[in-house]
Amino acid sequence: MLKNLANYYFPRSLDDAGSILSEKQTKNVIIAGGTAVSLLRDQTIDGLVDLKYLPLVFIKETVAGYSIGAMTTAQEVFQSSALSGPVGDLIRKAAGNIGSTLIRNSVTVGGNLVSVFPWSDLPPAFLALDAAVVSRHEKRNRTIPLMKLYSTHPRNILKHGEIVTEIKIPKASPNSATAFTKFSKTKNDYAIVDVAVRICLKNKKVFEAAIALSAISKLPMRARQLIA
Amino acid sequence: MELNFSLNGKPITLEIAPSDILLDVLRKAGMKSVKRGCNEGFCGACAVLIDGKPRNSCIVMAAHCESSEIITVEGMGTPDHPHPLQQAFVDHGATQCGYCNPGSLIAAKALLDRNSHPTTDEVKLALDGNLCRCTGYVKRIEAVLAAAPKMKKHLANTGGSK
Repeated sequence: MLKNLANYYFPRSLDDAGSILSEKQTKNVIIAGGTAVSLLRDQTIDGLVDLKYLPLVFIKETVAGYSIGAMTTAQEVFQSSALSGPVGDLIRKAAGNIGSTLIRNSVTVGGNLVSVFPWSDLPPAFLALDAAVVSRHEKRNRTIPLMKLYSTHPRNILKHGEIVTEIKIPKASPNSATAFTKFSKTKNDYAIVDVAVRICLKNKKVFEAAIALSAISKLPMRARQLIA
Repeated sequence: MELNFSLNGKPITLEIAPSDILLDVLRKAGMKSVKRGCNEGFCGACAVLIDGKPRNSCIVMAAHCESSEIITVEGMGTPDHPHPLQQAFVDHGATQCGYCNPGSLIAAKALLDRNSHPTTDEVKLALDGNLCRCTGYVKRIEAVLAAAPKMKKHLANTGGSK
C-alpha cells in the first residue's frame, strides 16, 4: 500500500505530466496499467501521475514500420489486426504471452518495457526487432534504441521526469521470419525464459539473425554470439 | 478525494483515499460479488468490467477509474431475471463453491458482448485469467457456449442494455 499517497493526478498534456514528475519537493511517480504500482508497499511516494487521458493509445503502421503508443494495453496489441507479417506476428505473440486476459487488459506497453517486470514478455520481441522508444523530457523528444535502454536498467537511462511515449519498430528486410517462445510452469506464470528470434535470408543463406532472451538475466538481452 | 464514475449504469460519487484499491471501494459500496481471492492479480475472482474491459480490481487503483463505467455481477441480472450466462452456469452445473463465479461471469460477459458466436478456443482464452479450484473448467466452457445464442434475445428484451 502507498501509505502516504496524498495526490492522484490526471495531467492533460505530456509536458504537464513531466512538470509534476519533476517536482523536487514531492515524490511523484507514473502510473500506467497499475499492475505493479497498486501492489507497491512504499511510504515515500506522495503522488501518482495517471497518463490515462493522454493520447498514448495507438497502433500505427508508418512507412518506417510500426509505432505503438506507450499506454496501449498488451491485450490491444495481442488482438490488433493492424499488426501482421513477421514483425507484427512477433509483437502480437509476445503480448499474448503476458499473464491472462484480465492482466493483459491492465498491462501497458510502456510499463512493460520500462519497468522490466517478471511478466515483461514484450522486451525480447522488441529487442529482436531493433526497436526504439521515443520519450519526452523538458519539452523535447528523444529516441532511445532498446539495445541502449537495456544496457543498464532503464531507470538509469531515463532522466527524472522523463516519460516514454511510444515505441517504434522498423520494418523487417524481405525474406524475414520470426518466432517467439515462452517457457513457464503454467501459461499464466512468469517466464522461466523468453526467446524471440528474427532471421533474414539472402541467397538462401542467413544474412541476419537476432536472438533476444529475457528472464534468464537481470535485464532482457540480445545473444551476441551464435554457434552455428 | 472524490471519485465519480458509473456503477452498473448509475452515476455514483464516493469519497476515497488516493491509495484505495478498486476492489475495496466496490465491496464497501455494497458490491459483494467482487471477491478477494489472491489479492495480487492472478486468480480473477475480483474481475469487473472497466469501460467494457475485464480487469482484476485488486490491482487497479480506485482513483484511476474516475469517469469510467464499471460493471459488476450486480449489474448483470437478478434471481428473477438472470443474465443468460448466469442461467447457463446454473443449467450446466458450472458452479460448486461459487467463489470464482462472479469473475468468470464478468470475463465471459466481456467476450459475449463483442462476440456472439465464440469458438471453444475463444471461450478458453477469454476465461484464461479465472482460476477455479473445485468445479473445473469444462462445465463453465459449456455454459458460455450455451449462453451465446441467447444473447440476441436478451439484448432485445432488455432494450439493448448488455
